[in-house]
Amino acid sequence: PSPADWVKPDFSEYET
Amino acid sequence: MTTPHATPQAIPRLRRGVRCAYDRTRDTDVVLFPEGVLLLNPTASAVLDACDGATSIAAITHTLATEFHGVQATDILDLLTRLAARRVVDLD
Repeated sequence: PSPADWVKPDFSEYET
Repeated sequence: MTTPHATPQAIPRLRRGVRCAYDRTRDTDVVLFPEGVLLLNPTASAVLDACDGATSIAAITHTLATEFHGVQATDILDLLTRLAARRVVDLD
């Protein structure tokens, strides 16, 4: 397996 | 109370009552904490998975560099600072 490209880590709010 | 700021020497750990899980409906990793739920992208999930309360952010960055191309240390510091502000992680 080749390493995946880095994507800026992020999170978002769970919307009900 | 000051907002915690992540440094390479800090050792991050999930706070009590916080856990990571996989949401099958949304096909994404999430973090569950008393105040709510956050949806994580794959790299954020990888960072949180590495927060074992014993490993410094510098060491986590080094480990992730073997799994991803082009890891940016500042991205990890920024993420953990934001998660500390949300009371998801503690920075020891």
